[in-house]
Amino acid sequence: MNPEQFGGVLICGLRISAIYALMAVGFTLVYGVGKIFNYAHGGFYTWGAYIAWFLSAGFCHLSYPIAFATTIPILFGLGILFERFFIRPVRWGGAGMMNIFIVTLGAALFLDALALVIFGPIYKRLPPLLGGNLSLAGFVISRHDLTLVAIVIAITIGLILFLGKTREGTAMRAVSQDMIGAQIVGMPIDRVFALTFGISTVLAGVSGMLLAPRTLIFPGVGWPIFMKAFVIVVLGGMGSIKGSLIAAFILGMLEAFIAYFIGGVWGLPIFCLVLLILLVVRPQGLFGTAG
Amino acid sequence: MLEVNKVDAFYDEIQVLKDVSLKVNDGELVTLLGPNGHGKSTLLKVISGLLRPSSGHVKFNGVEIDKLPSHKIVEMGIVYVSEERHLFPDLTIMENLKMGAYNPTARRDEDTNANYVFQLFPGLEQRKKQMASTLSGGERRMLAIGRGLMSSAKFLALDEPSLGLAPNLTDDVFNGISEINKSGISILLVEQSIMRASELANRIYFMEDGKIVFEGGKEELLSNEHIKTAFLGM
Repeated sequence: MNPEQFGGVLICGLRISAIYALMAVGFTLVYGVGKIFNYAHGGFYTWGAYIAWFLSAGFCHLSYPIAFATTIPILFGLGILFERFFIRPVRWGGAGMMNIFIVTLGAALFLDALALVIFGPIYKRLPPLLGGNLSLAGFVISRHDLTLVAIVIAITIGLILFLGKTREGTAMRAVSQDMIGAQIVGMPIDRVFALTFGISTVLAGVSGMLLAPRTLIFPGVGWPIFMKAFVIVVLGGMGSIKGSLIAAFILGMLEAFIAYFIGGVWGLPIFCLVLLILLVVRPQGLFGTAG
Repeated sequence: MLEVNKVDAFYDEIQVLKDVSLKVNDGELVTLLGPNGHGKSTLLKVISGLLRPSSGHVKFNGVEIDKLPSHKIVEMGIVYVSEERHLFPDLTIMENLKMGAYNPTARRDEDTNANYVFQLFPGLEQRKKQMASTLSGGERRMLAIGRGLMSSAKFLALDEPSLGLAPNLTDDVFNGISEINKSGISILLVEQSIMRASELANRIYFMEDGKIVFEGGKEELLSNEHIKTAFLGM
């Protein structure tokens, strides 16, 4: 492995780490606030890419950055509607976690099937956000990857500031720490949940839009990314955003080197092996609390 | 001010409250006494909207509130301070207090209410940047009460504020409660320790097996034969 190849693997690792981080943070946010395991998270990844494709190359012919920006509020709205019409009734029904589990799994399958019906099985292609390559100190990096990493860093910092400094963000942390306490002080829990789903869906969809120029778009494209994000969330500790960010970096880099030395198909099996070992050795993850 | 009228309530199949009626007038401090596990906390949960009564009504200033969601009830001025406290452990003291002022009416008075809480419990102000999880038992009690006051409450439902506290801390907490009541906030205080709580109270209710079995003043309570033999060991 010469320095150039090493640099290439690092850049590839950085790109997938960034996407995994965004996916994992979105997933862990909903889990942390609502203790809800959202299977549909991968479906929103897929739909983020499809909506951006529909608005740009596919149908509306908007320029890609504009399509990208337009997709974000659409995703936010989808998350809100998903919470309002599928999560909320089950949650207040007192039916327990298993039912919400099944609802989100059903939604995931539905989202894929709907994509197949509407867009068909033929793979779609998204253009890169910025075309061309940059040469940095002898390493070649595509402008798209650079933009991707910059966007992910900006979103992550924005989210951390939102959760740490604003009233609505603090409310989300409060609900995640003690839901009855949040009810007692008079928080409208439903609104906090809706906001959480809105943000989480945006994070999933933006991941899809950012990675789609590399992977193409097809129904179910979100599943392997979702499963890897899940392993990352378990490694980081369910509900821990800091844990997810660090775990995404570790596993993203690991995957890039696995792909270089053994082959790309080994990514998911090795992730799942990591998950199995983790559940035996340290089930609470790196930053989670036991139980 | 607050009127509970013939309320029945269940946990799953078990009836916890049986035909409970109770009243708290404007500015009053009313104590609800009774043995552990006989429905006192359940009544507070019904009042604060955490549990729906199966029959009967709760009225606040003439408005029926027993079907409202809990955040609407808080907005109307009723706040419940749970015995389990339900603080937010990984938020700071200040953030906990701010969350107490989440409803739109209280938001405007956030600074005034925070100053009032700090004046009442000065210990909290020194630690306002610390996480709630680092507080001692007594301080947590004070934070829970303070967080309740942040909602601009006109009515406080306090669940066993002295539970598990050392005597000197109990004094601090009860002095605080008395101050709060003097500032014009009505209080329904649930307690197990009969002596301490009945000193503060304008009126006393006694609950046994989900029913109100006594209503009256301190002297009457202490001369009630049934309560004397069954609960005071006299």
